[in-house]
Order: sequence, then structure tokens, then C-alpha cells
Amino acid sequence: MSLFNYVDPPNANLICCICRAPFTDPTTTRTCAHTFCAECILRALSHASACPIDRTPLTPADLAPADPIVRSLVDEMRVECVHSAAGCAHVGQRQDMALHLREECVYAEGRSRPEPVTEGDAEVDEAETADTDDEVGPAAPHAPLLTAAQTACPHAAFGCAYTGPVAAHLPACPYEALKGFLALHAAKTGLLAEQNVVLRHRVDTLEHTVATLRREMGATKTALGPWFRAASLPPGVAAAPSRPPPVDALAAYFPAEERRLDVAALEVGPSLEGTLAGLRESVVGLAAGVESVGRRGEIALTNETLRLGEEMMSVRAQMQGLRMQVHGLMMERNAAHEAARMGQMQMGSATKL
Amino acid sequence: MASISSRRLAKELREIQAEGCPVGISLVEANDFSKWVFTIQVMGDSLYQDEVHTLQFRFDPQYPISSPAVQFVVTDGKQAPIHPHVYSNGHICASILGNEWSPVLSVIAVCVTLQSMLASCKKKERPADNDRYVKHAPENPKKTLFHYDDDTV
Repeated sequence: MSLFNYVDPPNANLICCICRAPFTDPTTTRTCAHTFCAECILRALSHASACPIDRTPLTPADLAPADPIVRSLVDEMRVECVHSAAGCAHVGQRQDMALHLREECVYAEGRSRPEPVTEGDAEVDEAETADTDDEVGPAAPHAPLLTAAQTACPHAAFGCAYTGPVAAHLPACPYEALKGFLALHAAKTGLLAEQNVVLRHRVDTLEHTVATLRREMGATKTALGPWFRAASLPPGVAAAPSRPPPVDALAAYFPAEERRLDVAALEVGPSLEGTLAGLRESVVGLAAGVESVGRRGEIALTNETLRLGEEMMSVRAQMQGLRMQVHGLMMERNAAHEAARMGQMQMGSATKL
Repeated sequence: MASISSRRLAKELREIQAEGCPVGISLVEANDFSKWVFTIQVMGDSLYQDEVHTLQFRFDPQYPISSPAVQFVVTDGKQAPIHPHVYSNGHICASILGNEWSPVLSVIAVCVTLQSMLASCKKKERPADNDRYVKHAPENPKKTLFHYDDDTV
């Protein structure tokens, strides 16, 4: 539940209907889409398991954090500092109030309140800066009601334990004598503290980066497996010398080709680069081999065709010859028959007459 | 953590002081966060014309999660309105004061509901079990287990 005084009148839609204040940790119901402060709705549900607005049955499991937009709207509302009654005039966004109370608000408990000025502003400033430096020594007091003349020594933060009339004490205070040095020292320490913070931040970032890198390295190592090795070998060395290709069973049928294709045997070499180079060479060799096979085939085919053509021609010629012979033989036979028949007819006719 | 009831009641009081009460309702007393007193009148044409009744609210630290104890004041010569849901000792049988209470409701909302409950009454009569109830009634009406059945009255 919100304890703040809101500077601007809050939008009515951002007000929890149970506590009638702007949402603190807004939570929305999944069942009926109503929004309440987380605390308010949980307390309401402990009494009755129903939505306070429309009595839809509701359990804490049906609650979900409200839309981030709603959350931003309420967190950015401008509110007064809780110590405004004590005098703090700070006004800021609700979400920044915790930081203000922790770091800045001088009215927050445990911080030095502005003392009534005693010996001029220097001491008061010192006491305040000393406080924020986290120096060893008692933190500046919560200011019990001491009059202007009687306060703790302004150098209490550095270790002076004197309380009483300040005006009389200061000339005798050893810390007063060292005031210059103490101030310088405090300034330097402050600077170092700041640098420390920055460095710490950088270290954190670096550590984070290192962790990420380490993780990635691990993943890469696993992915590469046996190929992961320090890249010591120059690429290409891993390619093994080629073996002569296996004897081609059909080589006898083809005119001996002088082109011997040296295809590197596939070697899973010790280096990834080498292996990749070897693979590439194998692929190139294979491509060349396929091409030459194609060409050989073509040549062979052409040769065959020509040869067969020639044979055809010669066979045809022989056929011609044979045909002529048969023709001649038949002519002879016909002539012989004619002659025999003619002779017979002549004899016959001679007798007849 | 300071009681949620005081924060919520402070807010309600501020709203009443800023915006005033609805017609017919007026705040009589709100000096602490345990007991508030209002008067209600029924506006327009009704059986309760010109009657002014006093309502008393009592809050426990769990308000608004728990309902307030609401009753008509019957001391000092005042009388509870004659209504089928109002007993002669001032106790009221209303669902929003019992199982239908919701933290969304407010003191003003209850007053308005009771106003309309009176306005919609058709016949002025006491509840059937009035005498029996009043004889054994607890001091705090929240301790009574009312049976809410008749919605038409």
C-alpha cells in the first residue's frame, strides 16, 4: 500500500479500488482482467475467493503481474519525499524514492542533519563530506538537541571524541591543526572510492565477458571435436600424397589415356583446414574425372559409329558383287535352256516334215 | 505496518469532505477510525418520505477486506425504519453486509444501497421473525448468520 503524497492528482484508472491509492506492485487477474495492488488482492483473497469487483471466482494462482505499461505509469508518478514533514523538499518519481532515501536524503535516519552553523560553513561541510566518505569513526550524530555553542567537535568523523564547547576546544584540537591535510586526504580518498567503483564495474563487465567467451569456446570445441587443435600446421600439408587410382576394368577397351587423374584420397587429416583443402581437391579431381569420362565415352562412340559405317559400306559392296554373280549365273542358265530348247525344237520339226 | 483500515478510512473521509455526500445522506460523526455515524433519508415518492434514520458503522482493523458492522441507531428515542429486512433493534439483513461484501464497496456505497433498499419497499412491516430474533440477538450484527433469500423487497 502506498504511503506517498502524490504531487499530481493520479489518473483514476491507476487507483486500486481496495486501498484507494495508486497501485503498488500492480497485479491483474487472468480471469476477469481487473487490476489491484498485489498485497491488497492477496489479502482480499484470504477472506473470499472471488474478485472484489465482479465476484468472479478467483484464486492466487489466477493472478499475474500487471502489464508493464501500467507498472511504469504508477512507478513514474511524482511523489514527495517521505520526510517532507521534516523539511526535505525533494520531489521525484516514485521508483526513484528508494534511491533518494538511501543516498541523498539528508533527513533519512543515520545521516547528519544540517547542524546549526557554529564556526562557519567549512566545518559543517567537512562533517557532512566526512560522513558520506564512510570514514572510520562514529557517524555524525543523529543530532540530539545540542545548542549552537555545544556540539561534538566538527572533526568527530576523523576520530576526535570531544564534546563540549566547541569554540574553546578548537584551538587545542589536534585534528583542527591537521585540518588542511585531513581535507586533502578526504578528497583523495573520495576520488579513489569513485575510481574504485568505476573499476569494479569494469571488472564485473570483463568477468562477464570472459565467462561468455569461455562458454562460447567450450561450445566451439565440442562442435569441432577431433579437429580442434592449435593451428600449428600450414594448410594443405594434411593432404596425403595421392595413390594411383585403382585399375580400371574397362581400360582395356579404351585407347590408353595418358591423362592420369590424381585424386587425393579422402583423409580426415589432423587439421580442419587441411581436411577441408583435401576435400576440395578431391571434389575438383572428381569433377575433372567425370568430365574426362564423358569425353572418352563420346570419342569411343564416334569411333564405333564410323567403323560400323565402313563395315556397312563394305558389306553392301559385297552384296552388289554377289548379286551380279547370281545375275550372271542365271543369265547363263537361261541361255543354256534356250539353246537346249531350240535344239530340240529344230530336231522335232525336222522329223516332222 | 499501520492498519490498512485507518489508511483506507482516511481516504474515504477525505473524499467525503472533498466531494460531499450523495443526496439524502449526510455525515454526522467521524472522529475516529472505529465508529462513524450517518443519517439517511429516502428521496422522492416512497413510504419513508420525510423520515430520517441514523446509521452507525463500526470498522475492524481488517476493513475494507472485512465488512463493517452496520445498523440503525435505536437509542435516544430513535427508531429503526419499519422494513421487512430491518429488525426493531436496528440490525439489517442485507447481502452486501454479509457474504456479498467486497473491498470495492465503501461506506457511501453501503448508505446508497440501504437508501435504495428502503425506497423500493412495497409494504411497511417488520420481518416475520422479528420478536424472536431481537430477543436473542447478538450485540454485533456481523455475528448473526443472516439468511438472504428475498431479493424483491
